[in-house]
Amino acid sequence: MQENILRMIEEITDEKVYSAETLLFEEGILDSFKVIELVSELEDHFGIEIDAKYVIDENFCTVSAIKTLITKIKEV
Amino acid sequence: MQLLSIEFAIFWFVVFIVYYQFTKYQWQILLIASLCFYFFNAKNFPFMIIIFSVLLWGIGRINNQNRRGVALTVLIAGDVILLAFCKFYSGMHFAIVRNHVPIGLSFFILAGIGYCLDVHWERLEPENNVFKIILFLSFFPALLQGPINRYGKFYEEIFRCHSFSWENICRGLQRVLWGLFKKLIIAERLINITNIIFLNLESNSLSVFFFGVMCFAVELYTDFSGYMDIIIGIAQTFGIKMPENFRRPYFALSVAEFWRRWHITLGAWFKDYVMYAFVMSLPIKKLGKYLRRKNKKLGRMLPTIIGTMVVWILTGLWHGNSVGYILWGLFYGTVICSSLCLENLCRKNDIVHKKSNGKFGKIFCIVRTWVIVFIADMFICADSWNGIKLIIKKFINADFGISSFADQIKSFVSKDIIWALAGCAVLFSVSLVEEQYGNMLILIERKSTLVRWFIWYSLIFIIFIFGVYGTGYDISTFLYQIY
Repeated sequence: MQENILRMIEEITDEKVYSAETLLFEEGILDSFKVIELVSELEDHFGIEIDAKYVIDENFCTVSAIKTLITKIKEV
Repeated sequence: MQLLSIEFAIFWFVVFIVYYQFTKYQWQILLIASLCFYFFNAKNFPFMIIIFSVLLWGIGRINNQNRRGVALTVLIAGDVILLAFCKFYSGMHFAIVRNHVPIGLSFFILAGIGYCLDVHWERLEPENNVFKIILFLSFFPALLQGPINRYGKFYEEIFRCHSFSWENICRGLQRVLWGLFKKLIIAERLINITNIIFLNLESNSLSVFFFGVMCFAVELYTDFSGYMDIIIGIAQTFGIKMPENFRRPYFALSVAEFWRRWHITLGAWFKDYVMYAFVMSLPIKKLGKYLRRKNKKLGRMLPTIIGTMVVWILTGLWHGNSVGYILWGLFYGTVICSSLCLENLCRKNDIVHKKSNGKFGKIFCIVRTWVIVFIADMFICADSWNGIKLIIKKFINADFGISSFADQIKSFVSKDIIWALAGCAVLFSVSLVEEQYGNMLILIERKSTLVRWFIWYSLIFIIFIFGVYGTGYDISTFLYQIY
């Protein structure tokens, strides 16, 4: 899952993400516009629906956080 | 009771003494102080904030998700109608309404809606104590013009015991001084110039108008960020850390970045509660999915573009109901959406963009951002439809008046411009250092005692000697107070 998320972020942003703990906002890799694009990619790829309540910076700040979010949504 | 008044200074001092005398009851003391401050200022609607807080508390306590959703929708609709009425009415009869609109209305409404949505979306536990919500909305340093607090972070800061700390008090007072410098040395000087220029739009040439717009941009920044420095400093003397609202916006490399550095809490509010909620709504999601099947890139980008435009139109309307503000919002929305569309093209062709092109690339991007911000500010400065038509007419007639610029400026510019320019030079130097090496207050702290005292005493003397205050001056209210 982690590899897929990394690939999606790189495809959307054209930026290399070196680790799952890289701070995506602080490093200027993600911003609010890119988050919206990433959400649609994640929904298509993992076949999930990401509700607005989950779209907060804390859930998208690192690749690990995104992975945790997807796992949580899949479990609900 | 204005923030820059002797009455407020006495009020702050009394609250400060009581606050550290009775450390067990600190938040209760702040609540009483905040309500007193609110009642002093809110002549016509003294109970507005209490009623609103009780409503928020009640909605948060509804256990049934559907019922809470309905109540929340009604509350948001009511707030939007109330805000729209106040903005529209104030546009029609500004002088009358200024005394009737509840103070800080648009700020505490946004903070309150944010609290309710966080509870509804299960990001936050509902608050049991209604008095804590009242304090959240009425906390006196943030009441008049923000920053827009979030309950989760506010709770952690305010409802713990704050022991007396010289470090906090010194840093707080230093921050207040810096805010006073921005307001009294720069903003108050520039307001004299911009008032004259924009009152005589018809007789002034375009070059004078452009000069006025640049003065206005600096005035707005120093006025609003100066206010923020003052209230963040005041809160820090109570040991409370408020969210930052500015991060040197005029060093931004793009307009989108500019708005991540300017009025940060408002931008974050619109992003979290309007943009994300709108883009993640069912109809927009369906549209996105449909388009992605046809064209992946378009389907991914279009919801972002629609969301951005909606947010910017609303941001324009939040600031004011005049044509100028609506066009200002549309302009920013269009520029940001265009930059999103062109981003990939720029990357592909290695056109100067973001951090990729070294020092000159960065300077180019910074200046480009300034130009766009100045253009946007023109809509606010022209204000009405007639003003905008007048400016367009002068453009068509090429009435730039460059040759007569010096003479026209001379007629209304006094020593104000010299002190304002000197103040701007200091502000620019400080901002440049902060951009490179971090917070100036911390950098000064590392210097020897002699250097530190020299800096702070100089600043005090400069404010006392060259600041705009005292007999013969009428310090204008902070610009964002009217929003």
